[in-house]
Amino acid sequence: MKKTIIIFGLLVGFLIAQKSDLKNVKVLPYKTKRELVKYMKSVVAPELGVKCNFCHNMTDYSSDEKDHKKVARQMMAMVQNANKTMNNLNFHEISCWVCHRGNEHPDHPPEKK
Amino acid sequence: MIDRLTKYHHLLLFFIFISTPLIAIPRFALESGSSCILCHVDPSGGGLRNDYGIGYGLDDLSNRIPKRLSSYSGIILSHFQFGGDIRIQSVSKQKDEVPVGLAVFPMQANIQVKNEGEYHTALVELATLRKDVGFQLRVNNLIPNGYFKFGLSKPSYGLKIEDHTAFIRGGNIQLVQGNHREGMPFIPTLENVGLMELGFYFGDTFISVSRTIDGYILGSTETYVGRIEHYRSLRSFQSVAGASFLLEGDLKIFGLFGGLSRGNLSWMGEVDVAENWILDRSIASYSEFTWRLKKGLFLMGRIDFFDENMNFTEDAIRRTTFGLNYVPLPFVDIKFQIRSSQLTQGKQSKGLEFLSQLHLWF
Repeated sequence: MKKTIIIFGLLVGFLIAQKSDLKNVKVLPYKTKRELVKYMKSVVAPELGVKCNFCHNMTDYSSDEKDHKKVARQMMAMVQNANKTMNNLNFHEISCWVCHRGNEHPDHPPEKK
Repeated sequence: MIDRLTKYHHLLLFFIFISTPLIAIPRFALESGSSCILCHVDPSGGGLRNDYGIGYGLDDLSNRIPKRLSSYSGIILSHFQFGGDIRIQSVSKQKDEVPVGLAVFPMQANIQVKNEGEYHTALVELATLRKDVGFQLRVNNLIPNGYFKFGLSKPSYGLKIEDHTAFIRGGNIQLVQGNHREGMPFIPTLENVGLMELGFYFGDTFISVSRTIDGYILGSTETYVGRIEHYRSLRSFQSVAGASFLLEGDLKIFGLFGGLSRGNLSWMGEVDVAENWILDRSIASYSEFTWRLKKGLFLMGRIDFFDENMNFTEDAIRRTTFGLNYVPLPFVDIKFQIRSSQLTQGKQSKGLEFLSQLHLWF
């Protein structure tokens, strides 16, 4: 029984194997998973005050099923675009922290009376 | 030296049998505020680390990172990730403040291989010391935010802490205190069994339910295991709370576990009650404080308790442990522990034990 299950599993694994490359990375410039994970862990998560499961399906990080991930992708594109201008003007680059300040949602200005 | 080893061969044999299969360090999950799957390929924790887990081992755990290791990913062939866990332990036993024996031996030498596709994660594990093979195929996108897993594995119960001598796991396999049993049934020699498991992630809550084909503990009938855990961040605190159950024929085990962490200090605990394991009802508990002195250096204190019949009389055991845990380099973990066991009425039992353990993983 054990042998049958293992042989079956290995066969399935070989048949539908994929390269361990980055999948569904559209905006960020990283080439390796290590670089990507490091950026997410040291920049995105603390600057938004969230954990991985805020944006990701924990069993498949590449999946786009959560809306937060789609929004985050747009936000990252926005930051990259802003930083192009910042670099051209010799200004400091910005990151999520500029607006989020460690919160899921940036603070909005108080309503005018 | 040889004479001493021969004299204490029972101690040596006892620890040789602790050739640990998959083990996890739930404190890291608590401090990260997320379930085991954050760092491990297996959602139940332990064994091969994923990309985040490898990064955690490199950046967060160790005292320093050599440049050569900073780009390590575990990917050796393009389609497969390889990993392994090796543990070597030494035990020095002391009686009346005199050292009376020392034994050094391998506890674990596991090799793991992972292969991933668009919809699956396959994991094979070979426990070379125990000659046991584990295999699991996980279908990831069948259930939204969940998985279906089957193969040869172990159902996930409780905190699954890394020390199998804790009473909430297997306790003393060699009956040191002369009871009928000295620990819960999760001894390290339990073999992988045919298993089906469903897992769901609802935000910071993780639920898993599994059914084995053969009996997991008694080997008689199928086993049903359920587990729920919830992580919560509150200001600077991280917390986890959970419950689990196991049903196998007449054997019923129910447990509650939890943990709290703030800054460099964390606490984890678990209480389990088993019915029809030994004498009607038995209870085991575990409570551990850990203080991070600096990056890669931890101080720990722990109290384990076990009573085989829940009347808290002279046959209940309390074990106190103090230890240091040092991670000088990525993938190198060194532990030193001193522990002593007492029966509830205060009678000192077996003197002090000194344990040291070297854990290497990749």
